[in-house]
Amino acid sequence: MTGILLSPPEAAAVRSVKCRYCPVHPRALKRGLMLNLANPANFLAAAQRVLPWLAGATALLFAIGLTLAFDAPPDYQQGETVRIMYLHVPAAWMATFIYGVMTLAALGTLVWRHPLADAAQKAAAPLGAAFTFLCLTTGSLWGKPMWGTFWVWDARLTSVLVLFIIYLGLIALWRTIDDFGRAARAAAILTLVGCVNLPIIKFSVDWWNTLHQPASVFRLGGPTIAPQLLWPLLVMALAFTLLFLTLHIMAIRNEILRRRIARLTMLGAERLDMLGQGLAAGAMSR
Amino acid sequence: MSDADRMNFVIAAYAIAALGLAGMIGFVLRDYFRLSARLRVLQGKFGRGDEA
Repeated sequence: MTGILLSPPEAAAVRSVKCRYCPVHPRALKRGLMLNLANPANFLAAAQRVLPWLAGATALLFAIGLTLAFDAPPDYQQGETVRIMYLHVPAAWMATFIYGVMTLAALGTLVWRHPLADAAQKAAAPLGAAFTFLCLTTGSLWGKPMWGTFWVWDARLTSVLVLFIIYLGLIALWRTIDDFGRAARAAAILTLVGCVNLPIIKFSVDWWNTLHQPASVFRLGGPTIAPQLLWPLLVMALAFTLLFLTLHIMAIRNEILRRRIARLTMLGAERLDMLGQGLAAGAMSR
Repeated sequence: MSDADRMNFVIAAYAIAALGLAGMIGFVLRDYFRLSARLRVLQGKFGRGDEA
């Protein structure tokens, strides 16, 4: 791992260089943590320090959350089926939370031109799609015993399906455009357009008559769930959030490595080109 | 629907979640190891590339 991460003197050397694909403005680095992390070398060093702690905390919270989830009493109406809630609800929260993170990253790309914002946005899309898929499948498996059907075209389910399709569209867009800068701007615009769906998801159960139940945790009158069921849910939600943070940092690190590979490949191609030109010039002079 | 039938749905949901979460972790780690190996090869050929 240390072979590809930079030592502090090397990181300082990189800070003084304006990279072609992830431009860094050395003057701006003194302004604060977010700007300091804008430097890919600093981000890699920080990720290396933070990731083991994050991974450990995630594993611990999952262990506690799952213990609490299976220790919690069954629901008086739903019976054991209520245990699907400890997966479905955190997955649903993460699906919308990740899109919120991507929206902020899109603003970072278009407005503040943060050098790692596009990497953060690109890295979050597959994770968001995976959490949305988990939300849809676990919800479907909860729906069959409770509603008698795996799927209905009601507003909440349909708007979450639309969110899943937007995630897939963003992943496809990133893969379609080769140029990092152009792909980042196009994806940022699509992300900002798609964020209209977030309030629709949240308020769909209030605006339309749906089979899906209304909000029972984040509501004005306070949670309507019994504390014995609520605490495991909150611990699992925290575990899912930490898992996302861990995977997101790892995926951003992968994106930085991918760009370094692209830069070195370009460098290699330029050197080969120069070598070819030199050989041709030598042959002409002879 | 009996309690045993309902429990089957719970087991299926947890199995799918476990596979999904493990898949996410696996994909990210696989990417990391593949990319870092490729970068090491390129850095061996061209240096760190900071001059680019």
